[in-house]
Amino acid sequence: MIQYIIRRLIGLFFVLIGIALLTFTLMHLAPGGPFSTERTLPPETVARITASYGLDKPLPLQFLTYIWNISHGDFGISYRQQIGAEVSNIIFTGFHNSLQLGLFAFAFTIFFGILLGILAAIGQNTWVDYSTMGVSLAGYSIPNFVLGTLLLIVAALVVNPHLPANFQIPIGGWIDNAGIGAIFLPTFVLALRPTSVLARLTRASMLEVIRQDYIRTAWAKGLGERVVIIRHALRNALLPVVTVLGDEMGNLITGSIVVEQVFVINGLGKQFVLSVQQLDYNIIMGTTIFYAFIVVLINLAVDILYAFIDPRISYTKART
Amino acid sequence: MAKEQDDLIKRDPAGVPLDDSAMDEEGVPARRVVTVLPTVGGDIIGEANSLWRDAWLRLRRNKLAVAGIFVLIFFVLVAIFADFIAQHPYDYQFSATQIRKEGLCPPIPVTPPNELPKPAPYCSVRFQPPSSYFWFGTDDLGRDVFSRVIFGTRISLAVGLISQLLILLIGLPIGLIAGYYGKWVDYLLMRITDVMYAFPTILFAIVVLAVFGQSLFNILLAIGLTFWPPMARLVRSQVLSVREKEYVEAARAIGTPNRSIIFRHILPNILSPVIVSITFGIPFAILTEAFLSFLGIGTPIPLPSWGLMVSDGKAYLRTDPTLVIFPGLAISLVLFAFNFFGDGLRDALDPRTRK
Repeated sequence: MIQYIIRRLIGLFFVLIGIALLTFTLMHLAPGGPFSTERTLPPETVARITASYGLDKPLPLQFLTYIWNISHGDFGISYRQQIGAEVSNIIFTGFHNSLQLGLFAFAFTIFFGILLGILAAIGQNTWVDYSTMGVSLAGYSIPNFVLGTLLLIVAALVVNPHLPANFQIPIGGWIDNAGIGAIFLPTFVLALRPTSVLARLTRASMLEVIRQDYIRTAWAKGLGERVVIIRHALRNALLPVVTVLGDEMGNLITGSIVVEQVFVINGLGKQFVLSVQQLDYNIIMGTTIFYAFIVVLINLAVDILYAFIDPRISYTKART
Repeated sequence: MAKEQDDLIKRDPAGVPLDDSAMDEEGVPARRVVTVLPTVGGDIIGEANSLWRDAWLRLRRNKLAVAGIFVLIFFVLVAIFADFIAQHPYDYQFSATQIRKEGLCPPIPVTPPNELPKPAPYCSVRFQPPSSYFWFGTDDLGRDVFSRVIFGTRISLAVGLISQLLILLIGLPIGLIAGYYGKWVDYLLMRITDVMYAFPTILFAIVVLAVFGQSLFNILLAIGLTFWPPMARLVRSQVLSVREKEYVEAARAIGTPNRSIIFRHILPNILSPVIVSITFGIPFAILTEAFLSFLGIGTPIPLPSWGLMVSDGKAYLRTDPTLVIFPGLAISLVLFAFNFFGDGLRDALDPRTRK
């Protein structure tokens, strides 16, 4: 097991290098640079600025320097935001909000996704099943930015039906400036799609497990419904569910970009879109690597978790 | 015994007796034919069918999937005949004079002679409510929302279909080659796929769009370049399982060239999961386009992308929510239809998951 984790971590390192290289190449393919402005600056000024940031060096050297720096925890400084703003600070401030949003949404997803899936499976072909699956198909199909935008106005009208023309959305922003009430809508909107996916998957998986012999045995032994469903059926039904958790968690992280835009949350996603438009090299690189790092870590965690839940899986044996 | 075997051999692969009308002189069937009647959900459906016909029969019984197909046909027709359905061009900004002529604004009163002309009554082409002239009203720039939603169908469907084609063009060969040839080819291709797979998807699409500039073609490119790794992985895993089957071994034993093994033996047998994946990929691509346009980095203005329309309408939510509702409804409906259809198709193509 430990050997497997080490091997994965080494692979993970190369994946991250690959992602950095890819982003770096793409970024420098883009026309212009962080210092292209509407005004034409005198060429000496441009040369001086680029030289002071080391952007005049050959690209491979720039890349290696960058990798060397981030391996020492130095993500460089932003070229476009306040002078000398550290990218690591920008990332962590933005990520503070994104992470909260992501974690709330993830908790929501796991709880409601699995709960609804179980309920639908137990009541297969009853109204519980149909309504749950109907809602989940809707949740899967309605884009979160459409739903979020519409919920915003509904919520605004509920909170205050006589809004002035230049109203400020009372549920915009995140906890820090809008209070705890600000978490409900963004969390719900962000979590709806993964919750639907999870509910459908849990239902399908439960249905398959429920028909197996050992469940019939459990019923026949006269065990209570709770014991049969939770202790016997659910444990096995959750196996395929765990495999998608990693992907869904990754989707939550990237999906939050849109939700942050809708609910005016100052998160990392918003920051990223801005920096791409401004070609703020260091922020683009830093954010991409940071997100990728989280995604690969989550995937690794899911794979390890999988081995713990399913004793049939062993990573120590040579894989065929 | 030998005769029975002979009969079995003469049956075609789908199980249909080749010739059960042949009688000998006494009117007794010349051959004893084992007929296995195929069933769908326990009902005998008659003659044996090909996989595709079976799938179609199963699909037809799924009411939701059929509803999805009808909605999709509707949208495809709308996209094809958009020029005839839309009453106005999608990017035309109307003027007050024009809509006065249509009676949407009070007319300018005729000034009697010897009097100073009164100012014309207020008339704005912006945010016109739905009327017979503007079915869905007008937007903040005085454009017809209905025409924009109609033309938006073209963008969404085109993005959905063409980007999947692109994904297929990249992912299928990579998966086939990696799965079939194995060894270092597999290793190399899969490491590249791993890198792309770990790339947070939307981020990559955003960077690609920033690099190549905003245009419809670049959106296709961004989606294609972002979402091929799952396809490559799917194809590879399917090839790996099919590669070891007896019929492939047999083909190899008689010296069939690799190319024909891949295209004649392997490809047809991995097709159903690929098709299902594409069916679910289309709505996802449509969603991604709308996403990117909503962020303001996707479809360039003034093209009528639904995502762009929702994003533009967001600012006027309080005064005119229809600007968000109509395009939002259109995109949700298309995604609904594709997902219903995809669900049905998956169940139909893979009888093991059948309820």
